Amino acid sequence: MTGKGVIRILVVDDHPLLREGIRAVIETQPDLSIVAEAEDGESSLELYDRHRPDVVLMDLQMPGMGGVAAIESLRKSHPLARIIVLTTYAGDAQAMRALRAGAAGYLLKSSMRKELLETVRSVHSGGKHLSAEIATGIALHLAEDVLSGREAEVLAMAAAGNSNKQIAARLGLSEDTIKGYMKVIYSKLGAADRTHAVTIAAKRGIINL
Amino acid sequence: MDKTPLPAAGDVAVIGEWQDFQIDVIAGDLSTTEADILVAAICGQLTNAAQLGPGIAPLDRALRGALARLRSDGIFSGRWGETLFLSAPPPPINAAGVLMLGLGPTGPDLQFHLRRALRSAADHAAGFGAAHAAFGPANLDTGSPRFNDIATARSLLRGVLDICGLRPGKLQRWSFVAPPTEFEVTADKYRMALEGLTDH
Repeated sequence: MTGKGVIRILVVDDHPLLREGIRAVIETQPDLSIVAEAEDGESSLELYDRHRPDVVLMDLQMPGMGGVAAIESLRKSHPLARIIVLTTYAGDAQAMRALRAGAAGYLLKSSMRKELLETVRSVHSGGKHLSAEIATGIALHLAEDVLSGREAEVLAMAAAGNSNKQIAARLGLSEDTIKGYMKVIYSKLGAADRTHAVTIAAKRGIINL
Repeated sequence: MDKTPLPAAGDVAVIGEWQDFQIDVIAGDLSTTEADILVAAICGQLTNAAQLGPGIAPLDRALRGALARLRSDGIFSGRWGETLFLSAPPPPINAAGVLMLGLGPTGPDLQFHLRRALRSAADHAAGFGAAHAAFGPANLDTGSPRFNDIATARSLLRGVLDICGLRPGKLQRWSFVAPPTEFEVTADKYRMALEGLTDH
């Protein structure tokens, strides 16, 4: 059904099973219709141009162009695009990036069945929608500094098992500079050590493991 | 000396009743009001979180500062009629969700903007399947000396009643939430505003 008054939806997720699950939920509703499915950020841009959907359901973790970059690109070329993030990540940093990029909704896949339909309708009618859990997570880190791009990069390398010496060699910096970065990272995250910093950053969506 | 006790939190003054719809004033604050959806009115002119106002502050505290943070980060700008729904708020909040409603900057066409913003809030509440929505603060400071309290209340009532006309049977109750110290005077104000509407 793609008649007048029907909300046309583009689903972007690299997992076919997840897309199938979303389709199963959406297809029970006479006022909602999936017009296209994409499995990565790049193809979502092309499919958006072709179908001009009313609402996009976007995963964040995808191979190639990820969800946040796709949201930024879509909103740049189509400022009125209405995008809802569907993710397994409750981290405040990840949510903040998506919302700042222009997402109008942020939904955890765990609550999808319950909230998906009302979120699609609400966002289509111009509203924004996120779970209070995400919003309070964002607020709780109000006083904390977010890591800079370079700090997040250093921590991601540490999370991948690299020593300070290896990180320094890869980035073309001195080992002392990397030690300095690590100190700042511990301080900003309130972490006691390297493992603690990686755990906190992964939980908040600052780095992806 | 008359020592009339203050109304207790949760006391209700009915303003108007129709076949399947009621408008009332509840004593208390949004953070402890029992309803399906809480509508938190947020001005678009705020420059810092402290300016959320006493009517919204308890709800913001219950949400651990989320309203102020979303506002200060610009995720919610507070423009006229803007809405942001927060689902599944934590205890002690006793509602399925909190709807942030932007009440923009003061300026010309205030009555029109207020009515349209309330219509948008009531429409969203009905869309979420809410039977009972509670709005706060009941006493808005519009910042416009030309626009008195009763005219403000009248615009708010018009917005809610618009939706009842358009989507009959969805919403069954709309409450305006006022602190116990302002409960009686607020109820009187809304009664007068409603009389003004029904007279026309």
